[in-house]
Amino acid sequence: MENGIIRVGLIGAGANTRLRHIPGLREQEGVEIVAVANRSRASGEAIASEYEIPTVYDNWLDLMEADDIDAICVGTWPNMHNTLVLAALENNKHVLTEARMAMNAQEAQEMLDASRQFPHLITQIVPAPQTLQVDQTVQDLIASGELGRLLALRLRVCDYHGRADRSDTFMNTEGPLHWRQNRLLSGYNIMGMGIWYEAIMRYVGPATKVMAMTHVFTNQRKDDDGIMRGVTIPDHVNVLCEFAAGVQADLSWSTITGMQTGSELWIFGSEGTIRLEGPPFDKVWIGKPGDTEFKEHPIADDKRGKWDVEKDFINSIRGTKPVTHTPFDVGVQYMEFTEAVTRSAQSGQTVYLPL
Amino acid sequence: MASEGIRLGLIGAGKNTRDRHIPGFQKVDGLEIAAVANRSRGSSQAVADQFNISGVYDNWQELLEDPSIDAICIGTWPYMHRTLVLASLEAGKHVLCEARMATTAAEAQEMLDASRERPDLVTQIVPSPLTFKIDRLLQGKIAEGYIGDIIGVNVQSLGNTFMNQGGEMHWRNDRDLSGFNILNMGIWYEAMIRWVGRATKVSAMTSINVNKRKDEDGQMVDISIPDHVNVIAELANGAQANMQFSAVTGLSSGNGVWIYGSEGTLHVDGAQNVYGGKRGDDKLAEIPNPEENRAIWRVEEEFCNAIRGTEKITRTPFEVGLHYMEFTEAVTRSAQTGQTVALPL
Repeated sequence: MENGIIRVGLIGAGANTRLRHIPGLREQEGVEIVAVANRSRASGEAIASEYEIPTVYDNWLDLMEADDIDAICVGTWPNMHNTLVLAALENNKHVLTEARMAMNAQEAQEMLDASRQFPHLITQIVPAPQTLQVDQTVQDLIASGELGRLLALRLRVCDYHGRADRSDTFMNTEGPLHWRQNRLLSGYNIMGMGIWYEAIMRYVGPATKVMAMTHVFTNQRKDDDGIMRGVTIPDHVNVLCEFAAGVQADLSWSTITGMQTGSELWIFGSEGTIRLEGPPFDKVWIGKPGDTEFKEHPIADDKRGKWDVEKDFINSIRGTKPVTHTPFDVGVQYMEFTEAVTRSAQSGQTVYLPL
Repeated sequence: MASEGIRLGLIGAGKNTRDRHIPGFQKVDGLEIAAVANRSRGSSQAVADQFNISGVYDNWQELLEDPSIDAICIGTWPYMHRTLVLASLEAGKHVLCEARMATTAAEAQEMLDASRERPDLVTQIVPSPLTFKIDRLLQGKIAEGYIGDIIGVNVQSLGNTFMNQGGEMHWRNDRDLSGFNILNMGIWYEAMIRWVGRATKVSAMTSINVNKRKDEDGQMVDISIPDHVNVIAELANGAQANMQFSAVTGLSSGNGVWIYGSEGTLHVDGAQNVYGGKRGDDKLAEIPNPEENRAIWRVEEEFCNAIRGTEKITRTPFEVGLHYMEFTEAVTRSAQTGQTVALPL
């Protein structure tokens, strides 16, 4: 940091980096985006000229070694997160990494361990954003006992990430192989499972037992070179779990459930039920014994969270607040859950958490 | 007997027997409800008086020994079904048995085996009536290829009242009377297999939230039958299913079914309206369900026709009862062990 200016280097500049992180970082005072390294020099230069970034590096190794960079924003696919985070820390740089944290739980654990060896450096994962508007309100309702004892949770997600055409919700066998469908790039991550589990943990904490069944219905897709590849990442997932808080949950994700739009989350307690529907998840519905229907529970303006990822990262570097969305130890929890789902589906056995 | 009347004996005369079976049998020509044996002579006499039944027996053994009785209707709780079905068949009597078929899969298997030793006698389980109205519609739509290959199924049967601690003990909460049966899981599974066939793998988690109830003597009794059940299953047709059953989900969305196919989706709402949509449609639209397409309750008529040789039992033969009892047991075993249970057992 020179004269209080935080100099950020971008490694990987995909859609989320361009749409979210670059504008978000630019809104912060005393922050400069000084360099970029993308998959090729040419794509790095295209980003640099579009966003007026002064330096382009041939590859991430060169960027890491630059002395005039204080912090790294990792926007690659999950296959590189572990390598890049470890390298950033070894090069004495703060690091914000895109979600999902890593390919598997072991990589995530390594990243957490590394972060603990550099306590003066900030490490942050891009948080699950879909419920930020309602999180605080749901947490407050649960903490105040409005739901009584928590009994059950139900999540149904129609997940259209990686779909060529999101308006057609039926099974799509024609679409190209997306990185989210590519095991080599995504590891154990499946659809939006990790970020939904991260959101649920904000309400009921971590799970202790996981049972899952998964299915790959579209099991072949064409890659960028036009070659048909076998697909091993499921497009239909059913998970049962028990949470430490005593909650039993039924969670499902699918990209093949036609005519099913939107997602829903229910939290059932002995004295009340909360229902969230979206996207967007901007309202909280609550029902109590004696009610015949749900009522909208007002969300106070100062409780309505929003996307503050880049601001949080910069404030953490300046030491004004700790990372809450999302620290590495929470990332490890969702990666453990993610891995547990695959292991349970493979083995037909309950997988106990933590791993 | 085809030309003669059928003389029927009732063993156990609970609510479903009084509300459904007795009126149903009274409509069948040439059938006489000739005798009843309930839990006590007093309660038998009350039923006999109410429905003009001439024979009252002290207990079921005596009723089964009556050579003038041709057929038995068993209306007891599940814990007696196996014993009574086997005894009825040994006594040479046709038998209609109330659902759930039995308390365990092994009992159901014994009952099926016994029925095969007496091919001259009719055996029938009272069918799951929940979806009579829509079974043919769903079967027809699936058979005509409306939804293509079936890939996902969701069945939910959720109560919408909040957990009620300290309620009365019902026989459905009593492990000794109900065995592995939980909530209305068995009859929903029976309905589901009419549309999409059987499961080959089952994983389940269950919980008991109301864990004490008051029995008839006012004693608090610990409950071991779950009141919240989540099941995931692989079906023989390659689809993956999830099923939820609960008595603790306040203000839930109730009952509903979703059947997802490669080309279309079918949805049944809580009032058993059926909606469908195919690839390219904007939204789900209600599918007309003409009156003549809906099945109705004709359990007693079917039983008597089968005895007279004019109809084959389809709702519900013992084989199908065994399927749902195996599923029911698989759910408990999976929840107990944390392992996926393969079907058939």
